[in-house]
Order: sequence, then C-alpha cells, then structure tokens
Amino acid sequence: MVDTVRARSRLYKALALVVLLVIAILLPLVLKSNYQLGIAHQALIFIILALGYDVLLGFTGLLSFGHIGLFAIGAYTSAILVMSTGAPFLVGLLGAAVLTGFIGFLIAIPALRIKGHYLTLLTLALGEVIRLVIRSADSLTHGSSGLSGIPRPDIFGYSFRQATPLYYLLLFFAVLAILFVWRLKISRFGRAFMSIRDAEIGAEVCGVNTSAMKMMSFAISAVLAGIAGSLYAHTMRFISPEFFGLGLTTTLLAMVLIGGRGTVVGPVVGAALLIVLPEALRFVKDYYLIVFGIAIWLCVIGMPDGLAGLGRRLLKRARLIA
Amino acid sequence: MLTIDNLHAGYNEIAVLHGMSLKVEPGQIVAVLGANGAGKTTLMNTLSGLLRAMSGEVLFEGQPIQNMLAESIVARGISHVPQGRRVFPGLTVQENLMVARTAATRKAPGGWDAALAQVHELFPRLKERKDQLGWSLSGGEQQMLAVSRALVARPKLILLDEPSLGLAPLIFEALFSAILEIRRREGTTFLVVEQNAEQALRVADYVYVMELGRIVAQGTPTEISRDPAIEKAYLGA
Repeated sequence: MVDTVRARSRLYKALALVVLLVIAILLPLVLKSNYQLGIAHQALIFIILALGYDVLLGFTGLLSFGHIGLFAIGAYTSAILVMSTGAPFLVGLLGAAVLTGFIGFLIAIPALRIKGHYLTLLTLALGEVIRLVIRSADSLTHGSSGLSGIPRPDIFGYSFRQATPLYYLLLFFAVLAILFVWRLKISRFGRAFMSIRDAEIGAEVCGVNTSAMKMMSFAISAVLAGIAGSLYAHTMRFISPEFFGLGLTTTLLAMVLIGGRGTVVGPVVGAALLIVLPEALRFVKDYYLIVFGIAIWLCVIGMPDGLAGLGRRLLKRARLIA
Repeated sequence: MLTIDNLHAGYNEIAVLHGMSLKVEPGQIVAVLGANGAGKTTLMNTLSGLLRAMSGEVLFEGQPIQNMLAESIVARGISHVPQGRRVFPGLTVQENLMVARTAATRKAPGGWDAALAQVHELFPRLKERKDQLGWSLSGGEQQMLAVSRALVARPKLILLDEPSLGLAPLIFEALFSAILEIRRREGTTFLVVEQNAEQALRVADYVYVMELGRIVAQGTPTEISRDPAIEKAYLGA
C-alpha cells in the first residue's frame, strides 16, 4: 500500500505532462506582451537545458558544475555559424549539438577516473575555462562585449522572428526533449545510468559497462545543452560570456533539485518555476534575492525529493484517504 | 573449471593476496573461510574484474581471465554477488533484474521470460515485490535479489561474497537451500567466501581456509571441521 507502484506513477506523470502541454499550447492566448512571451521563451529553453542536466545528475548521479560551459559553447557555435557563414538556423543548431556532444564526450574521459567532489571541482574548472576562452577569442566571439544581432530562427523560409511563432518553435523542441528523456529513462540505457547512480559496484558486477555508460550520459546531456544554447542565442539575439557564469550554474542546479532530480516532470517544473518566479517577484525590488533565497531554502527543507516528490507524496495520501 | 595459481592482488601498491592458489571443479560448491581482513573480498573482486591482478594466473575453463573487464567476465559466465548486495535502491525489483540482462540471457532457451520465471519460482517473494523499489526490501529480500541478478546472466559460476552478512539465521538457511536448488537444476558452480563457517561447512563440497592473503588449509568439510587447530583459529569453537 505504501509502496510505489511504478506503472501507476508513470500514468500520473503522463497525465500531468499532458495537462502541462495543453496549458503550454494555450498560453500565448493569455500572454499578450512580448515581455511575457519572452519569459515563456526562456522557460522553454531552460526546460531543455535542465532535462539534459538531469540525465547527468539525476539519472547517472554525476554532479557537474561545467554544464553551463556546454550551454555557452552551443550558443556561440550556433550564433557564429549563422552570422559569419550565413548558414541556415538548422545548420547552426546541428553544429551546436554535434560540437557540444563531442566536447561532453571529451569531458567524460577524465571523469571516468575521478569521482565525487573531485569530479565536481574538475568540471567547475572546465566550465570557467570555457567561459574565459570565449571571452579571449575576440575575433570570433567579440570578447566580453558579446555577440549581438543574432538572427531569429528561419526554417525553410518560414521566419520565427515574431514572439508567438518563436514560442511554438521552442515549445516543439521542449516537447521533443521531454519525450526523448522520458523514453531514455525507461530504456536499457536509462536503467544502466540509474544503476550506476545507485550502486556502481552493483552495476559493474551486473555486466554494465560503466565507463561507456558514463560517457554516453555526458554526451547526451551535452547535446541537449548544445541545442538549448543554440535556441537561447537565436531567441535572445544577444549573448555575452558574463551570462554563462557560476550564477547560472547554481540556478540550473536549483532547477533540477527543486523540481526533483531523476524525474522527467521535475526539471520541467523546476525550470519553469525558476524562470517565472524572479519575474513575479519583481515588485519586491531589491528584496527579491532575499525572498528568492528563502523560497529555495523552504523548498529544500520541505521537499527533499523536489516538487515531483511532493506530488508523489500527495497522490499517495489522497489514495490512502480514498 | 576455475583454477587460481599464485595470484597476487590488492589495492594500488598494497598487496592483499600473496600467492593464492585454489581450484573449483564444475558443479561444486567451494567455500573459502577466513577471518576479517584475510583477503576474501579482494579475491572475489579480482576474480570478477573489479580489481586488477598484480601477478599470477586465473584460468576459467582453461582460458586466462585475469585483468579482463568486469563486463567481459560476466559475458564468459561468471557472476558476482558482491558483499553488501549492492541492490539498486532507486530501481524496482523488476528493473534491478533488467539491468543484469546480458547476451547470454537472450540466447538461453526462453530468453528473458524464462530467466524471470526461474527467478520468480526460486524466490516467490521477488515476484510479489516486483514493482517495489530496491530500498524498501528487507536484507533477506535484497540478498535474494542480488543472487537473482546474478542468475539472470545465466552464469556457469557464481561468486558469493559473504551472503550471510546481516541476515537472520532462518533467512540465511533459506538462501542456502535456494543455492542448492539452483545447483540441482542448472548445474551451476559456486565459490562462496564466508565468515560464518558453520553454515558454509554444511553445504560446501570442498573448503579452503585463508589467512593473510594465502591458503593455509584445505579439505572436505569433514576434514576441516575435525582439525582441532583450524577449529580453534577459524571456527571459533
């Protein structure tokens, strides 16, 4: 009775995602201003980024502080490809995904020998190195003044310059990412990732190639970061190295932890919440960070398994009463 | 089936096994007894590829397997039930078993369904709890799951590292009768390391006694339990 029945909880999660999808499709009817749509754009992009981060952190149990570096590489790769070679948006997107995937793979090589806090420190350093390299590569990236005037996406002659079409394009990619990560979770690879998170020795003696699986997890999460980066560059139309700093790393971590790591719904809700909340808290002005900090603090104390865990608990309680 | 010859192994530069030699014949249950720190777990981890051997030879069905990857050793037919069971707490019982699927599971007659049916028949408790998460299992159930995970890979040899650890005597007894049942049905060979000598002596066909990384005595369970010196030093009379 108290036990989690996976199949049933999967059904509830599916329902929750369908409800979210319907809300997401109807949202532009409510959001009138470009400012509001702009927040929605960011939320969708960060959903993709947080999902990828969850593959690494929540599924495989590897805590990387360099993920924003991959996000930055994706953004710059796509922007530079499109702006300096005149390549179409989809080529920029693909280039970003391929390059970040490859770099994610490279990062995984030292990560196989290093564990726990040391891995986190190593990735922290790598993330900062990426940011500094971007800042110093003046001729390509315009250094700390950043890249501006990045064109909005244009796919086969159809322009997504307007906020509403762009919203639906981003929604399309976010839904794709959700479906992909969901399918991944219940696949052989998803189970292998989680077995490494839960008991690495157990995974090894079960014949799981833990090295290959960790590299794959890094690469998958990096590809999602690259896609999110490309979408970010072409949505915001301006990127600079300062944005991709440690502050954003912390926000990304908070998205996954508050939402609920190791789940699919968690990063989606967490990303949306942490993008919308600061905007909703604008009215408290300078006290915003204090309120935000307390909110996160309360979340961590009250919901150790994130919002997804809270949802599960409430469902269970409802079932017990019924 | 398994021949270990003059095996040296350990962690980094520190050797724990100093020239281990032992033999396991097909269909046997061989027990390795020894006190804490004798190197029993190091032996198991070296055999299953979790640790590298420093020197010496491990032959499985005539082929050297020392320093092969854990994955390849499983593929050759050796499954390791590690100390502390290492069940995946965040996965269901069913998913725990699914992680352990290998090419051998698919190739065996009946494939995965047959493997699952076999496990459920041996341990009906695991069938009842198939959708339950690993962390919610009792120690005995976790040990059943760990043994079942090994079985799914259709092994010829199963390495059992301290199966009695933390189990109530009654549950431990049930586990050992399951092991005898597995051998009867599948002809599986077992290499068991144990601190709990009494139980091990009851089921084993042959016994080795280990001390500080070496074999110091061997014989049938009767011979071993009759030896007064061994009884005093290792069996805690």
